[in-house]
Amino acid sequence: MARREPVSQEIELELENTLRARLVAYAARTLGGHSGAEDVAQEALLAAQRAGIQSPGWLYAVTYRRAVDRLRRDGRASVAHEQLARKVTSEPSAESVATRRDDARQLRERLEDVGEPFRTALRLRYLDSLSFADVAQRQGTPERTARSRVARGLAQLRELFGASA
Amino acid sequence: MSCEELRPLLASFLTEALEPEQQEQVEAHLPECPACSEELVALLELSEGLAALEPASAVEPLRVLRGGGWIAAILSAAAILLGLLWIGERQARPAEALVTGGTVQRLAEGEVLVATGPRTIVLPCGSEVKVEAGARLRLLGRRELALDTGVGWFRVAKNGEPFLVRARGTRVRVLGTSFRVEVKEIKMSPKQGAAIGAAVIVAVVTGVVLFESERGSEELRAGQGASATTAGVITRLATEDEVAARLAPLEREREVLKAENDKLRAEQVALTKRVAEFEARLAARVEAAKAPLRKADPAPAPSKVAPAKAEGLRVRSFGVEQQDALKTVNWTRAGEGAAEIFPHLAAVWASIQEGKPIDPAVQKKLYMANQKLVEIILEVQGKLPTHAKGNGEFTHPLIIANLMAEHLANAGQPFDEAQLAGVSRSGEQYQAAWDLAQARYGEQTPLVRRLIDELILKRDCMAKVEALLTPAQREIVIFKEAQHVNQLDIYSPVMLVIMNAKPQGVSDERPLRARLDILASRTWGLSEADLAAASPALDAWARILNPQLVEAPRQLMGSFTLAEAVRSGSAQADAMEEILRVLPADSEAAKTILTTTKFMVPRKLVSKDDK
Repeated sequence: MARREPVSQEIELELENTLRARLVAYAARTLGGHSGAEDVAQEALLAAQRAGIQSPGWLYAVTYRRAVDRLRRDGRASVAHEQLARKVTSEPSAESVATRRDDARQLRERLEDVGEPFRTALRLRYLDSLSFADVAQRQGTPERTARSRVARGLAQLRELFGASA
Repeated sequence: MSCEELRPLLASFLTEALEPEQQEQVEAHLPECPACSEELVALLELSEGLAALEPASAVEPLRVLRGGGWIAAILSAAAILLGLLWIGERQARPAEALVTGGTVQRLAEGEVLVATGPRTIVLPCGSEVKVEAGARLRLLGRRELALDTGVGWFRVAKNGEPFLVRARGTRVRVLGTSFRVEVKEIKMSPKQGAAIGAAVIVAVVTGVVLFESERGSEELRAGQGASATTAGVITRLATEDEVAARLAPLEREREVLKAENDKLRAEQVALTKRVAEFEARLAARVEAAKAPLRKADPAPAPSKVAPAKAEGLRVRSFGVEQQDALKTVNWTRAGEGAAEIFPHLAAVWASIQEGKPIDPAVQKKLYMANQKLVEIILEVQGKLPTHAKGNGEFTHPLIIANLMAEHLANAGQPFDEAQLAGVSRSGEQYQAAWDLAQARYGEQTPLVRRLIDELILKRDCMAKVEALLTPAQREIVIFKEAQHVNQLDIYSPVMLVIMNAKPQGVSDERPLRARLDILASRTWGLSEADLAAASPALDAWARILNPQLVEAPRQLMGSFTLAEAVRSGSAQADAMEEILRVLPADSEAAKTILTTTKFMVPRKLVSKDDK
């Protein structure tokens, strides 16, 4: 089912021993077995490569989401996973369609409630698609601070959305 | 590490902001905890959602959708960009297009472009599509596109292969041309709600296209257009020339109405101005009237007799310019003239009725008295507005009122202050009504109409003045037996038409209708054809007057009354206006009808025996 696409040798080697193994384990744990775990991890890595993202956090999140997606397709999703699965299914429920329509508007409104300098950091990173290094340069901070600010911005935004997000 | 301790670290985990030790802890915890895993995904989705929002800055990423909302969108965007790089290495290339206008992007086959602003899509064959903001366009093949909604301008490069644009169940097939396609969604409400249908509108700029649906097809050439309904029914749209041809008569009608409107507006402005002038004069008059009353308050005047004549006038306030015109009149002498005429009226009237000559002695006295009145006429000639030849100025209410005032004072029954104010008020009303009447006249208003209007206005004004008279005053200035009789009552407005009204005896042998034919043909010069055309108006004229004719013997033919003059003159003015409508405007007859001041006053001729 998963397409095996050519992945650059460097990334393959770098990730194989550490991150890749952990992602497979994570997927296997979520799926409740090794069947399909390799594929899920592979898809996540591929997506990361395409998106030019190397963040382990991002990979973990995508891996989990794809695993739940697969569970749901196989009809094996637990009740706990069902909620998340609905968000990523290709046949969304009526409720999520309605939610999606308002997503952008709500997000834009809540973003305004995020405090500074975190709001600007979020804007630069995501809306303007700048790298963390560029965000840091714009804000005159070290890159690490930029990453922190974006993280705190996301956390604030998450709080603003509460449990409904 | 508990969930509570770990949760605050998840966002930093996502952005690689954690210390290696913390990161280890998070990575160890996640496989054990679906709740924290879900929280991590929630944070990821928030970041994806933000990335899918349009930036506030000028740089605007292309929104490329595949399937769902912004979550799916951002995943796809990343995949497509990378995918295109691989595609470049493949042998069989699917279609792709370059999108410019925002950030330069590629649009792959099967992908959807949702234009957030004007965009230009260049296809490999060199064909170009310009879409407006809000358009949704799919690339279906090398020379095949689908416009799901919005407006697209297509300039198709000719290369032998057909070019196809699909739009909501319709197809536009072309070889090489330029055209516009618009998919207009139809909603229940213009601002919100889901679309319930869509109209597809195609307009061709150059070349030929075939616009087809399941229900039919239309071949469209340059300058032509058509629209298709949701059900696929195609209707040709009118071209610019066709629309222009259809609009031309409406345009002409609009011009005529506009001219008419302008004319009415100008008239309205003139009338408004006149009313304003009148109101100003009235206000000034009210102020002037109040002033002497206030002055008289401390010591009431012992007598109600009007004060000594100022500038020779007892009745004033008809308008300054008109008063100035009357300064030179010797009003005392004029009043004497009027007073001298009245004692002889009974004898004169008796002689006329009996058809006997007037006593030469009386005739001489009347002549002397009348000379004093003629002096007035000589002084005011041309100084007061009138349409009449002869007594136009003399019958102006200002003259008559002052003459009457002098006559009454001469007889010891002068107007008191209240009466003078009342007379002045009537005069002001006359002046305003006169101004309004003049503003209504146009080039096609016969002089007779204006003359009769003047007669009516003077009649109304003098009726008001008469109503102010005390019984004692009436005895002095009104000769009851022959009030308002032509040539006899010097205070009657009928004096106005003494030179213009032509009495005419009619009888069974010489009926009115035949008289009117003679008047129209001989006096006005209507041709035989004109006379036939004027016949309905002449019929109506006779029909109105015949039942109202006053019977009179030959010797009293000229002694018609004011009421008869008004009645006859009005009927003639009506007929003249009707006839003018059927005559050539520049004909001599039309000119005669417009400029004559003469009008007929018919009476039913009876023999002396009958009477």
